[in-house]
Amino acid sequence: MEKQKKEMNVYVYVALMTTVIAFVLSGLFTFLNPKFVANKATAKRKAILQCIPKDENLDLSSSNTINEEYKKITMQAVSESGTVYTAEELDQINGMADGGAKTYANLEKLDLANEEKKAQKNRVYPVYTYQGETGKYYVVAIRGNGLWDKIWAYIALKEDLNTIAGVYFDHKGETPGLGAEIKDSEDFKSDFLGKKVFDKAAVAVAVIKREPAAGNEYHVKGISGATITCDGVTEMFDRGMKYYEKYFEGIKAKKEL
Amino acid sequence: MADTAVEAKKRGGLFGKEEKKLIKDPLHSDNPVTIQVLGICSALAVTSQVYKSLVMAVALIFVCAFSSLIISLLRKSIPSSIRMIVQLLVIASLVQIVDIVLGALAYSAYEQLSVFIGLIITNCIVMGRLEAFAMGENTPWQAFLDGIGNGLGYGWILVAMAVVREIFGKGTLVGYSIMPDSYVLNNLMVLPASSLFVIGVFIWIQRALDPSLVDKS
Repeated sequence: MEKQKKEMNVYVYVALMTTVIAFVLSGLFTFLNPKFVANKATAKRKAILQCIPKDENLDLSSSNTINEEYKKITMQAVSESGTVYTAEELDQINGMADGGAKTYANLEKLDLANEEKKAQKNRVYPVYTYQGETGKYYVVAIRGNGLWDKIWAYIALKEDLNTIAGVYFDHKGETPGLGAEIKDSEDFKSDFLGKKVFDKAAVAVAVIKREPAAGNEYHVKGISGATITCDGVTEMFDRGMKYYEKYFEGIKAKKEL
Repeated sequence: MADTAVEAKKRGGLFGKEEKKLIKDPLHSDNPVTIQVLGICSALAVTSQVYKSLVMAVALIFVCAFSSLIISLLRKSIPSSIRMIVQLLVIASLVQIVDIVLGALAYSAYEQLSVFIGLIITNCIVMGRLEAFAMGENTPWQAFLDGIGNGLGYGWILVAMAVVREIFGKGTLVGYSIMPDSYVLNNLMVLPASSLFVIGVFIWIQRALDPSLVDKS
């Protein structure tokens, strides 16, 4: 046997390895990333469409049908002061990006996490309107804090801009079986249906610990063992819905004319 | 040693006695989770649902098998002073591949698991097998089988734990409701702590059935 073979220079070896691996990974990424981005967009569309009542018979079984159904939705952005921006007025929204917030390539990319970086007066919030056979629905997005991390939701309101027609909750890291039930438990979500968000001008919808009194229009029964997440949901409604109040008033005023 | 390995391969073909042993041992008598007690961290994290643990098991089998194969092919050229770094480099890139492919092809699994998939990099089983087997005097094919075997050994324990936890914690199996409505869900089983009990019971059962596994000391 020959003596121990001379080892390759460490630096050359590492440089070679990393180059090869970098090429493989970046090739794969370039090839598959468009699909990943599309998946992400579809997941968001699905979340929004899930809030529309079942009576509308939306087909959410595959990404094709989801994207098809989403075409029925009109998206706008509104500011806290009630200004409405349509998809064509994207430049104005992008012009308000400050505090390191990103600009959007199209209105659908609007992201509450990104909006939170802006100064309050520059923030805009999405409204998705859906005109169906059973009426018109307004889906709004709210975002708040759970026990461990962020929670967010899409809320569909009926034409009166007060009655909840559907909810979708999601979270970044709530405890499975406890806080995570806001997303997983059908019982919890269905409890919201038919409840009212506003009592006059104040946000009144709240998640409480006990079974709500019979006939109570604002209270939803919480999840035992997940008090902080449930309080987070209440707080999220309280803060998030206020941002839309001026916009809602504007629509109602138009109707009365 | 190298010569005997080659001879063994000649005698037994691709699936000789030794090769079968490489797959079979990690399933029971040399199980990475219940006998060597490695990879417990992820066993705690992803076993609350069967679906999650299945995806995790497949991902680990892939990473374990291919990192073993690649390291075994490279082992003679790797400078010994940086061999661990090279191993990590290979593992990390394979994990990244799993992550990218999952994101594109199985988005719902990706949403739930991407955090844990990233943690495969630090899974002691993968690196342990590279150090103990792939870097040793074994053929790349044997190293590949060893990786599959250990991945399977880890995977089946994971799935078995998930079955127990999901049935008692959520009353479902792979998402389908199977427990009667009168069953009160045991929330403890959903929490990470319960996997410690479950795995403890598994280790107990395994040793009770096969006393030869009990540590003499």
